[in-house]
Amino acid sequence: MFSLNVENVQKKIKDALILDKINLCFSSGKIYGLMGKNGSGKTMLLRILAGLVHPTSGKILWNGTGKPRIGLIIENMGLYPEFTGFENLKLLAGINKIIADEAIRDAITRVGLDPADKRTLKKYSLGMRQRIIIAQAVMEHPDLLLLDEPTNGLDENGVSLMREMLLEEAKRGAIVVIASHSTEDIEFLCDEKYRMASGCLAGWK
Amino acid sequence: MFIKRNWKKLVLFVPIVLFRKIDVIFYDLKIDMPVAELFIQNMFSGNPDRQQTHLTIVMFGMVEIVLFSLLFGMYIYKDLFGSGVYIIIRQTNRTKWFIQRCTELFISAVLFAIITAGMTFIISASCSKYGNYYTSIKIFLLTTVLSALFAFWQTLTINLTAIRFESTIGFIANYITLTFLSLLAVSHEKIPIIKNFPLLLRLNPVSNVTINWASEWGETLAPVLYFAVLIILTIFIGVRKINRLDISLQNNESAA
Repeated sequence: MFSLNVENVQKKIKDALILDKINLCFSSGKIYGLMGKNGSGKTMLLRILAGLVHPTSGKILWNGTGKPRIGLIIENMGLYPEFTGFENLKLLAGINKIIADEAIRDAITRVGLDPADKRTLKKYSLGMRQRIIIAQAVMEHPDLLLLDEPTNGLDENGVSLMREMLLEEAKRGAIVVIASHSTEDIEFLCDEKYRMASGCLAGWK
Repeated sequence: MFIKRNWKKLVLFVPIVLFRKIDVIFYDLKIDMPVAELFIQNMFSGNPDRQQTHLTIVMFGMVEIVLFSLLFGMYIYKDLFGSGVYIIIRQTNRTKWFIQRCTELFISAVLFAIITAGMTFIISASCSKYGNYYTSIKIFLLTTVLSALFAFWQTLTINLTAIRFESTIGFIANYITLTFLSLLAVSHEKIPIIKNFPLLLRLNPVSNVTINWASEWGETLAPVLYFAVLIILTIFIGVRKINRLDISLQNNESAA
């Protein structure tokens, strides 16, 4: 069991307050949902949790062994278009070398794609690209799975496949945090739900 | 993976060099000039001592380097707003990621320099009446190393300026600076302050590539050392910047 604590996190960009005094505790095995309009701060919070953005003040505390393994999906962030799906995932898996090629193929199959597909990503449809991004996020069995608008571009089948996967990941013990516009995703999947407005956390109604 | 990502950009220099040297290739007669001399002339369009006298000549001689910086000027920057994000979250620290990207960029610069200088050398050797290759190879090696170091440093600077501001500013600021430095290098004899303090000319990156400093082999390595120091300083600045950077916050103009 492990947890992630967000303590008094604040983010300012120039004079604009993007996040204000965020306090949260995420526990393993649970799915958390962040909902809010554009600019409400949910994506910024995910980026801070991923370590991509430094908070202006406050702390992110990881209560677990070592550094958490992070699986991430960021909206509008693609993979290398000149590589195939397998090559992209192999490149990423090569950094920490904790999974073998077989696990990469499994992850691609899990999202409903063919690991032997020789087409490069630039020939993939939007939905297929999103699926391969989901595969890179889950392939190394992360401790912390951070997903920004994960159902973007997915068809009905893709959405239900992804929901199943997220439930499996939480069952395995991962902390799953989803930021989404889709009330349906949040309602269906999440154990704890938060609404964000103007950089602050508000209750769920 | 690195080769797959970059080979098309590097191979592009083969037809470019061939096209730029087309007059030399189709020149019927053997040229009465040693290979080294002809190589330098073909490489920088100037005289063998690389003492350039006109800005246009220097700029013309740097066309390939400028083109390299155009092709690779967003190599590191682009990664921060695209696929690189998924690489960075898997690294133990950002410095490691940045050094890896710098290494790839450096390898690209070396391959670029080998292609452009190597082809120019082969063309020069086939057109010269003479066959003294020892001096020629020494000059070829030095020119290759300097071209690679300069191309790498310039391209890294564009990447870092783009990360700090944005890509357009990165390119424009760099080319304005390059033109200004070239102007200083070629008109140093007309500018009293530089004429009186030759060290100022030696601190100019452009003059370190285009002007021959000494006939002694040991002293000719000074520009190599100069670029090594410049590159280490730039990488140090880059590491500091990358570690403080809020990644994926700027616009996604280059997201893959």
